[in-house]
Amino acid sequence: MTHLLRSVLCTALLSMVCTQAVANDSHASQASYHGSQASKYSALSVGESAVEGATVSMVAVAIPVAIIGFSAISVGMASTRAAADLSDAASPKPLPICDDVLIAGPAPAQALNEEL
Amino acid sequence: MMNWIQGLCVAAAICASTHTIAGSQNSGEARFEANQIAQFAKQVERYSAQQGAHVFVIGRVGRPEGDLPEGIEFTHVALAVYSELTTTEGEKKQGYAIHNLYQLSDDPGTSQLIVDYPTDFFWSVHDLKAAIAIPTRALQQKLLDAFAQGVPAKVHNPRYSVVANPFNNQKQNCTEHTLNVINAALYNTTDMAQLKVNTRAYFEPQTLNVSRFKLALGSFFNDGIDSSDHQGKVKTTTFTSIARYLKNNQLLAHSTVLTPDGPVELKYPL
Repeated sequence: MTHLLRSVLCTALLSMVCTQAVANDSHASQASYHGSQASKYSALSVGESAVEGATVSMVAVAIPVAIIGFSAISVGMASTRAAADLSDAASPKPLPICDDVLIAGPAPAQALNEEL
Repeated sequence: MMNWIQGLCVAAAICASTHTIAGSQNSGEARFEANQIAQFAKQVERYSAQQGAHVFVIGRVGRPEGDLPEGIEFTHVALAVYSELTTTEGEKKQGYAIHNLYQLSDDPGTSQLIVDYPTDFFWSVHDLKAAIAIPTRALQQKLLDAFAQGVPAKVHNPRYSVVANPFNNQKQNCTEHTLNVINAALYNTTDMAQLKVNTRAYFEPQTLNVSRFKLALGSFFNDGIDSSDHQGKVKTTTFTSIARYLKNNQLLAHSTVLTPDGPVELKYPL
């Protein structure tokens, strides 16, 4: 019985350590997320190590858009839905991408704290 | 003494098996130089934009390839949406926003929907390798409409399990959420019962070669591992199973795996 107990305890202890690695797609807690964003911004902005010729900015708002012809149409605008037709008949054209490095901004609570 | 050794062997086996479904953490330290990550992220954006992709399925690798179980090549999947991005300085830029379901590290049984951007997405990856599956233009149109109507939040179940069963809504992981958004867009509904009936009829998930006992033991210590929503073999959603689903239903325009040296083949062909 003692041997069995030892085996179970041994298994349990090692599992406690090892199953930490099973976490998938984990997002940092708010505190460490802020730290992560700050160090990311810093790492991307430090002189020689920065991305050559690129500006690093934080994004405040992202709005899906459809590029139709030469126009970028906000997908959220119901009135433009008919015009924003990406049907298979229309041949896909390359979309413009900015050269800047864009990263997520701080969480809303932190953004508010910074203003107070 | 022998029993101690036996115990260690069992524990080692469990460690090995649970490592196989390990994923990536957004909070992890970067393994690559900042400029390498940013340049790769921009390469992925430019590749997808060159294809005219307004919406595509994107995947990343958060663990060593050798740690992943048979059939799984990517550890995190999300939807990238071409967007107008307004910076905190008020400038408007063009690029992709990535709509993620992330497990919370301080509450592993719970997830949250978070939008980030390609450099954020690849920040702590194990390999600079991106999975890309671009739906047909017709499906992209439906996905854009779905995003405009807030569908991702409507099909989100915050009860997280890394091995969530896509055939019911008891638990959810990032890949199942991605599949939910695709199907909600396709069928113009956020009725979860209807979506799960359709999923069961047409979607083939990836069977995991990990025993229920080991998963059950793992769940004892980690709320993010829970196979209680499964009966029989554990099957879950993966990047490859989503891409295969799209291909088999004539909904896939293009797929590839991108590395800094260019496109490579999927490890598990569609």
